[in-house]
Amino acid sequence: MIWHIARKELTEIIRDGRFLWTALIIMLLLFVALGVGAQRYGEDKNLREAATSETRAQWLNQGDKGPHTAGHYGVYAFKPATPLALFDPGYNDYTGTIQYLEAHKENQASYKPAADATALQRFGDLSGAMVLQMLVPLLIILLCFGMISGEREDGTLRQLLSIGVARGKLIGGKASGAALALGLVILPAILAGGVIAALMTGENDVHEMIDFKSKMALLFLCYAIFFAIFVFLSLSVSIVAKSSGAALTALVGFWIVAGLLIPRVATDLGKRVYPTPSALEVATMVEKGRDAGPHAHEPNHPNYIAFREEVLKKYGVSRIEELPYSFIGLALERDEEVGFRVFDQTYGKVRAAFEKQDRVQQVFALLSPFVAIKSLSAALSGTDVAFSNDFSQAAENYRRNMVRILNEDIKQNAKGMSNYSAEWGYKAGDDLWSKVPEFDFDPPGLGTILQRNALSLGILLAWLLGSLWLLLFLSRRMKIDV
Amino acid sequence: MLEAIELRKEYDGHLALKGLDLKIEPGEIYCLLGANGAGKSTTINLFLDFIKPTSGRALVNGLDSMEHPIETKKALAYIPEIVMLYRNLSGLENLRYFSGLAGHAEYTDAQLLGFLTRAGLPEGAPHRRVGGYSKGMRQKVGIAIALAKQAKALLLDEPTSGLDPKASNEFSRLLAQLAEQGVAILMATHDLFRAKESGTRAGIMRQGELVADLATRDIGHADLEALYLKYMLD
Repeated sequence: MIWHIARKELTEIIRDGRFLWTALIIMLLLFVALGVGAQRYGEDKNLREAATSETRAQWLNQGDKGPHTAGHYGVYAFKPATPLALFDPGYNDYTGTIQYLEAHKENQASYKPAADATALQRFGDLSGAMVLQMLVPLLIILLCFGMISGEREDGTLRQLLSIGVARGKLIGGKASGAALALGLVILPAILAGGVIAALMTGENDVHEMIDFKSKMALLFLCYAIFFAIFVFLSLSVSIVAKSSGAALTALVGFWIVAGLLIPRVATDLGKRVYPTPSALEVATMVEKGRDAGPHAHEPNHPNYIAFREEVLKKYGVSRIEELPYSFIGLALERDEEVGFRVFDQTYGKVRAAFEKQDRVQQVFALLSPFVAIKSLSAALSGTDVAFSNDFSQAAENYRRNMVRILNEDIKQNAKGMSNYSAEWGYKAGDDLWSKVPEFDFDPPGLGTILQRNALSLGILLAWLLGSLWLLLFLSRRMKIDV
Repeated sequence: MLEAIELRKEYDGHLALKGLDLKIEPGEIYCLLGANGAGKSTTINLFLDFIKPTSGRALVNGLDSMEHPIETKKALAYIPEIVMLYRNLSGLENLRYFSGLAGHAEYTDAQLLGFLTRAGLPEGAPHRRVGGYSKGMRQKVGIAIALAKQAKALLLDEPTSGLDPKASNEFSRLLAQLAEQGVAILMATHDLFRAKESGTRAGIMRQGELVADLATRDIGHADLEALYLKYMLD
């Protein structure tokens, strides 16, 4: 019965010229978005791979030099991306892609594509996710707004109900008809776009493919839920609206408020309630904290002198040359340890503020399913802020390990040397450089993503059940005549 | 087959139907006469469960239409003054859709075309979209829907108004055939001539009340008109 109704709805939809044109435009946009996304992803990937091997080669072949000097030259870490990033670039344009890893400093990821974009480009960020998040709901509204109100206006609802159709089945058939039409538009475009994208981007690093299939499946499911919510809401409005025109107006109004206004308000309000410290404040906090360290490069600084006395006393010797380790190595080690604590505290505060802001934003999904799908889509595509944080922290951990290895080498191999010789005379070679492993980052797995986005997922499900309940509730109170 | 027991309907204090008692047996064609607003359409809508009675019961095949909205509708076929169909579908597609909903998905195209022909739809028309149909042609699709449904009772709400005399006559002949097959028919109409010609019984309604109920063979056409006018003037 539901299938019988769905098929008739589909026939009618297909024979309607308005649908045909809208569908063609949306299909075309999806194609273009996925193609452009794939091209950009492929270019970024090639660039990243080339730069990664270049920075590694530079590190390994830097020749003989002081380990701490090498630490100051540093290395670069490049943020990877899963292939889903070509579908949903998420916040990638606003989060940094390259992190400079050097001695003494925890740097933040820099090089944000948005910073280089002209004002015009900001309007043109067409992506597959954008088409699915913003345009497909409009298509659904167009498909469904008159499904009941139109039949009521045409008088066919009377004829239809006189036949003896259960209202639940009628609604089910209508919803299925809309789903079929939607599937006809989206699935071929997604499949073809996916194949083209796969051909364009070629082979992927295994690290970038962690839980890839299940992430993709969940992404698919989330969008299916998101679309179902719109079908249910549109049909509900079509049942209660006085006319088809009123239904369309109400639904487009909802699209504007929930799709454009609320996501913006959610972000702004999050920032206002839990403000992040300014760049200057952060820099001041770091400066102040690190000032308490031994000032390893300033032999006349009181902290340096105090640290020297402390170490001499600890090992019961009177000259630094008699220490079991190189003094400069110990000083550098202490300096880094102080730095680690300061960075953890300062950037920890920043990260906590971001997390709270994110939570506020997730709660706003209660008012708008757009907010929920945006968060989930970016999270599953590996383009959300959390992914960027994971990368930054992995890079920082890598940096800490790197400076530890370098300082340890100075401690061990420059012992007995004067400070000047240890800092400028002692040189390490290829053996030491190869002790520092290659940078490697695993994107968060499905479990982590689910845990972080449980709220969004829960709210999306609540929207689904709520809109379905509303639809079934209203279908029992359907008015037959205008 | 169709039975109204103490059927009453009020709208915001306005009494549309004042406790109607009516019983229509299989094979009967009951013509409900009366001015606009006399309660004829209200009666039909109550049998269809499109509106809920304030009190009393509307029974179809012994079942209360409010308590068994689906089963009672399965036994009914409804033809309004203007049969509303899906413009973008052909006559045949409309019939197939409505028959499928009525639980007759088994009909072949040939069978469905047979119903349309029997209802008097001209050849070639079934494959054209309904958007271009005349009122009479749509009426015929409505009849075909009723035929295909194999309904036990027909509810007709001024089905012949606006039809030309020939079409109206064909329509009456079809009704007579269906009545012979044991279908109970309730027809609201303004057409006294048609009521006398094709009805087996006639009832006159005024302000929600059935004021006369008589067998058409007992009364001449002129008498029926005189009786009708008498009640309308009072």
